[in-house]
Amino acid sequence: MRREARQVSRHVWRPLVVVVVIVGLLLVFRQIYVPDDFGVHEPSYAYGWYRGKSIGDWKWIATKYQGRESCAPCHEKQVDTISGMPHAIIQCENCHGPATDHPDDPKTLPIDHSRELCLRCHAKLEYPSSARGGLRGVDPKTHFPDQACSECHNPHQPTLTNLQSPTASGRHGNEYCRSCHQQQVDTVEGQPHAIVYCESCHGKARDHPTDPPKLTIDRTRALCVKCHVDKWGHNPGRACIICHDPHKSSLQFLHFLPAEGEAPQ
Amino acid sequence: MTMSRRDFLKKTVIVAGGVLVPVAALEILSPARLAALKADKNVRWVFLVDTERCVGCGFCVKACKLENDVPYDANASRTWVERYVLTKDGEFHADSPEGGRDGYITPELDLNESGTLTIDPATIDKAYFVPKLCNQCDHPPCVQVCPVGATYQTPDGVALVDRTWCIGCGYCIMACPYGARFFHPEYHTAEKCTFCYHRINEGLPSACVQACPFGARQIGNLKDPDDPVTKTITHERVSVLKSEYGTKPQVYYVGLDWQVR
Repeated sequence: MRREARQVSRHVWRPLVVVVVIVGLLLVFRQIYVPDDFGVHEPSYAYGWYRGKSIGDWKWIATKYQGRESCAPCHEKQVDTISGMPHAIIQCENCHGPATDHPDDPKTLPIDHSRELCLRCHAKLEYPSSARGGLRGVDPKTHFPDQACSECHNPHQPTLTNLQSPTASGRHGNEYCRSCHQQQVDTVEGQPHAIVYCESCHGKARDHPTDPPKLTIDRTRALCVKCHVDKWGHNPGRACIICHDPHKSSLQFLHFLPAEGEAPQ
Repeated sequence: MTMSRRDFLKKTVIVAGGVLVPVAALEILSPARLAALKADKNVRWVFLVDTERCVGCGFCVKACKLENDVPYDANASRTWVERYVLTKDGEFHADSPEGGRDGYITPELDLNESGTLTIDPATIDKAYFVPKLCNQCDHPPCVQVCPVGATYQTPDGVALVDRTWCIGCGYCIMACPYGARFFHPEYHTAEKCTFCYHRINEGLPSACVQACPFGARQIGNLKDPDDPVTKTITHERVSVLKSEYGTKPQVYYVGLDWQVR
């Protein structure tokens, strides 16, 4: 009788011991794995069950957008120019990009010169009951579709009285170059870079060809990434023009990438 | 069955020990500590969206993505802008291409796989833009469903995600009635608007608030009666999204139309 009871109890106790050991191990694991500050915090028992230091993780992230107040001390002239203008309500960084630690990092900011930037507000949408309907706007398909807005409109002084023809700013339009460099201007026509001034890369024409007789072409990577900001990390250390023809910039005209160490042309 | 004293003592110790081990896993909270948790705090962040002022430029979405390192080309965003167009025949259409990141530069509506829809301006009754973001609810369902305590409400009312603790189960994404949560494409954890917690704690406005040229977005402290946002919420007519869910959303809207869900 006693012997039988012992046999029964043994097969009952054995799994129980296994369960107790597993629970014990889980508790030990929990003790080691769960941080000390994990538990109930403010504001309530229902929603305050978390790792305490997590709040600090979110608080101490570096800010990127610094606001126009932080631009003013250095860029006083620009801030003056835009003040009182309709565009004074737009933050500098909306067009110039987030300052982050500028001027330390990055040293220069990538300005968005694209038509799409201006069209965010100035593509005409006939919307009654929306403030958008009241904004001055154009149909981007018919309003100088191949030109950058800033060729005529000064973003800092956007009122129509400040409208400038491309040459008024001391710049020559591409038509000026065409009179002698017909072939080059024709090549670039219809290409993505048709909206870029010749002078943006070839330098100010001034009285060229008499003074200066020759222009200095900027072939640097730094020039290209002014617009193609997202391409900093693309084949770093190599001039863009090794592969990309600036006049025929569609990817179908891409040159073959020469082997490493070969001199850029 | 008879039992010796020795057996009785042995079994008593084992049973008592077995009960105590799981009890040790529980935290006993004193009533005083619970009361302290409910104590009134002097900051409660709230948001005010004036849809009458929004023009759909999308600068807010752009600024949010860059400020908060949400991959720019991923079709996921902490905040987004929706466009609603109601025509004279009683139909209404809505779209939000790329969450409105690049602004609304064409009258054509982007209806995803259904293609685009061009609406004759003469047939439009009303059309407007509605910015959206996390509602930082007083009773956040996303926090209720988290099985591991990775998402929580801060003392000043913002729901945050602990990226080191989130297991990526996605319950919170399913639970949010506003669709404000998504998986971060790089961290693979739940992601949501934080009201720019790192900025508001430094006295800066949230990135979207700062980027908005028209003042359509404002952030404020509901516990401060002199805050202009609080004044609007307490003295003027405002509404919230999906109040029927009982989540007590804390993003207040001016000029919200009934079609907006």
